[in-house]
Formats: sequence, structure tokens, C-alpha cells
Amino acid sequence: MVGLLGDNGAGKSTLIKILTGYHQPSSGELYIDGNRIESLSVPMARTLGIETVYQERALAEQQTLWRNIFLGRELRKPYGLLDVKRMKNETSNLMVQSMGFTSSAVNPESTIETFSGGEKQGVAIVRALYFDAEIIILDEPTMGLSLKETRRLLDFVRHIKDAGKSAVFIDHNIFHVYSVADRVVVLDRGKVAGEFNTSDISLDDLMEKMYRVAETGSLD
Amino acid sequence: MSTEIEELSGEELVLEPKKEPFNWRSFLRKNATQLGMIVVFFGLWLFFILAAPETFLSPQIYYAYMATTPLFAIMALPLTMVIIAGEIDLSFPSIMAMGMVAFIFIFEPTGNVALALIAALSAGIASGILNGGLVVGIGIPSLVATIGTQFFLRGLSLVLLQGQGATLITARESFVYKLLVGKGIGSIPNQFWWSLVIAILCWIILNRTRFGAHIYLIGDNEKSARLMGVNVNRTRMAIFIMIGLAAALAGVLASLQVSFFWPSLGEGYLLSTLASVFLGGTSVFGGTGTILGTFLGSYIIGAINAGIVAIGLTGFWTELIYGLIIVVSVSMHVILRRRIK
Repeated sequence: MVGLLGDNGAGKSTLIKILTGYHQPSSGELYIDGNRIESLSVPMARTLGIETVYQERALAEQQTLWRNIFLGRELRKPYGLLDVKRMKNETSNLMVQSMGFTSSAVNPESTIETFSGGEKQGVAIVRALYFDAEIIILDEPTMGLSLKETRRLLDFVRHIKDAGKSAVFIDHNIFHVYSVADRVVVLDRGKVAGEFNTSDISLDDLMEKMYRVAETGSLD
Repeated sequence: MSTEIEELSGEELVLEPKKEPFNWRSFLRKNATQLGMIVVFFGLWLFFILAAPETFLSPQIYYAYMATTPLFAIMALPLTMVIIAGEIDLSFPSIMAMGMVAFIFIFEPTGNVALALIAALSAGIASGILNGGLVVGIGIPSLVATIGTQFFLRGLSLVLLQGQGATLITARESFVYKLLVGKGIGSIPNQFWWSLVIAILCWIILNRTRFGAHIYLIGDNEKSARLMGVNVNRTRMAIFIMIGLAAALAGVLASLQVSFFWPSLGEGYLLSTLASVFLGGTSVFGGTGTILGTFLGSYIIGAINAGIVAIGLTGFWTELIYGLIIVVSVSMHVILRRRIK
């Protein structure tokens, strides 16, 4: 579990969008599992097992829940037509098992616009987990969540680690990152300013260093 | 996914068939728009029968109705997909003419209707590529791009044929003519069957293919679609090609039906086609809309067209009413959506 920290404009979201194939890097090299990757595309990243929960959630609000779960990776029957029944069934299962939706008002046919912020985030996360991700990237997942929802989310992030999967966690809130990450990478203006194991550094020291980076551009 | 999941869900269906009692209320709510339209349709029909019984109780009007309505229904169906994707195409009336120019270029020297039809459809595809190229490749908003190509293609077809019409009388003996605009089952004009076939095709494309799913997604939230790996540009290009193809086909049907090509072909179709789409409940903002809605919408618009003339109003009224339908149905949609939120 890597935490990515940095002030506004440090390049956190840009780095994420390179990792997921949305942006192409203007320079540098990208290695996944030790293999150099040339021109990563979004479908390619997803095949490699990189799943992302975006800051903007990447949901389609007017569409149904099942369409959002399978957004961009719709299940098909052997002859190429969509397997709508299976997608709805899978969505029903996911709702009960992973999303914790028990209200009868919500079903796979509900449109996302009727959901609360936390429920929307839940959809985005469950979607990332459904497809057997190796690395889950969480880009500002606590944005727009209530306190209770944030706590549930952080529990959930710890659960990713327990499941033996890797995650990159980005948040503007240093407390959230420190509480779940094993390693923290501090970014500043597009460059790595420093790297720490959370077991080696106290929260206060980390905060002190963050302020210094933001003001002077160097850690010490 | 492994076959295990498939077996599992298959088993589930057998073991616990969802015995939910048929819920009338949720059925009504879900299909409110379409059901409302069916009611409007029959209400309108009854009104016309009462207002002009001698016309609406004779079969001729229904023949004319089923021959002319498909001409814009065929274009309204793919146009629905264009609008769901958050785009617009205003150039289709000119593509109708452009397709026919290609038709005549092949038909006059060879007399081969089938070849001419292929030429017309190719011209439709080419026009679609032109629109798609301007929108996707150069990045011009489709509203502006297709207003431009509307004039450009109209001008091009006028220049190529020097503004002359052309007779298609000799095409009448061909098999293609009978297939496209002859009378089929139950002496119903084939145009009607074509509109039905295209409606079913469009429904499958929109509701049962990835391409269709992506049309909804990019119209709803283009950024999300891109983040989730949807090829937005390719999808956009394809929908412009589809409407181009449909417009060329509609142009051929309209011309063969009257056995003459008028260089002004297509003028007068813009309003009825757009009105069909918006009456059918497709959102101007993209993201929502149905093929069934548009199909019903076009046949209501066609009925209004027939009715206005039959009850003795002048043709001037049609534009007024179509314009009103567009404004009212779009406003209704916006107001209803605001209430949902």
C-alpha cells in the first residue's frame, strides 16, 4: 500500500492518469512487473490488472447501476451481443455481497443519479474489485464523503491490503494516507521529493516535511 | 470470465425463479413515456376520424401514410443514436440529395438500379465520414459542422447535376424498385416494412451491443467513458456514418416512390425527423433516449401531417405544429429531469 502525497498541482492526478493509460507520458519509462510498457492505453492497463477509482468517480449518472459496473467492459455472449441478463445478475450479487445495498429501492436498474456520494463511491470501488485487479489505484476517494462514509472507505482500503493486493492511495488528507499506507511517496511539482516507510516516520515529522517541500521545494 | 459463473447463474435461475408478482405500478412508471405516446397516438387517430371521417375511414390515406412516414422514420432512428451520443446531425436532408446524385450518375449510363443503389449508399457513407471527420478529427462542434455540410452537400449536388432533376421511370421494372417501394405483405407499402426492419436493427445495436452501450456512455459523460477505456472517437465516427447511410437510403426510397429526383430532395424532412426524435423522449443533452420512442414518435408525426391536410388546414400549419412539438417535448423533458434530481 503506497500513499501518494503532494500539494495541489504536485502531479498526483497526472501520474495516475499515466499509470492508467489515459495520458501518455511526455518523457520517462513505464515498467509494470518489470516489463517495459510502450504506449499504455486504458484497455491495456485494465487487462494488466490496473484498476482505478477516480477522483471524479468516472460514472455515467443517467445510466443504470449495471451499466456503470460494466462500463467499458460489457459482458458479451459468444456471438457478440451483450449478455444483459448476466450483467444484471452479477450486479445484484455484488450489491448484496460487496456494496451493502439492502434497500429495496435500489436495484440493478436504478440510475446512479439517485445515489448518495458514498453509494456512488461504493459503486466505483466495487467496479474496480470485480475485475480481479492486481493494483488498485484510489485517487482522492474520500472526496465528497461524509465522516461515516470516510471511515467505511478507509476500512475498505485496509481490506484491499489484507486481500494481498497492491494499492496506490492518493488523498489530500495526510491523516488518511498515513493511517493506511505502508510507504509514502511525496511528490512536488512533478518530481519525487521523498519516500518514507510509515513505520519509520512519525505523523508529525511527515507533516513537517510536507510543509517544507511546499514552501522550499526540498525536504530538509 | 470462467464458465463456472455462467453455470452458477443458470442454476440460480432454475432454483429460485424470481416469483415477483407482476408490478403494474413499476411497469407503468418505467414505460410512462412510451405508453403515453401510444395513448396520444390513438387519441389523435380518433380525433382525425371524427374530424374528417370520409378521409380517415378510407384505405387510401393509410397507404399514403405508410409510404411517406417511413421516409423520415428511417432517418429519425439513427439520428436518435446521434443525439443520445450528445451530438447532432443537421446535414441529413442534403445527404438524401447527395445519395441520389450518385444514384443518377450510375443509373443514367448503365440503367442498373442495384449498382445505382450501392453508389447512393456509398455516397451516404462518404458524407457521414465527412461529418465525422470534421467533428472527431478536427474537433468542430457537430451543430456547426453539420450546418456547414448541409449547405456544402446541397450545393455540391446542385452543381453536379446543374440543378436538374432526373426521371426514374425506367427503374420501375427492376427488382430493387419492387423490393424497396413495392407493395408487400397485405398490400402494405414496403417502405413501412423497411422502417420496421431498421427500427429492430437500431434497437439491437443500441441495446444489445457494446457499441450501443458506448453511445449512451459518451452522451452521458464523455470523460467517464474515456477513463474507462471507451473509444469515443471511433464510436462518434460510426454514428455519423450510420445516419449518412440511412439518409441516402431514405433519399432513394423517396425518389423511387415518385419516380423522379428533385434537386431539392430532403428539404422539409429536417423538422419532421427532429420532431420525431424529440417527441420520442430523447434528451437534447444526450445520455437517454429509446428507439421505440422514436419509432412511435415518427408515426405520430406522420399522422399529424396526414391529419392536418385532411381536416382542411393548410400545409403552413404543419411547420407551426412540428416546431411546437419540438419545443414542448424538449421543455417537458428538461422539466421532468429537474424534478427527478
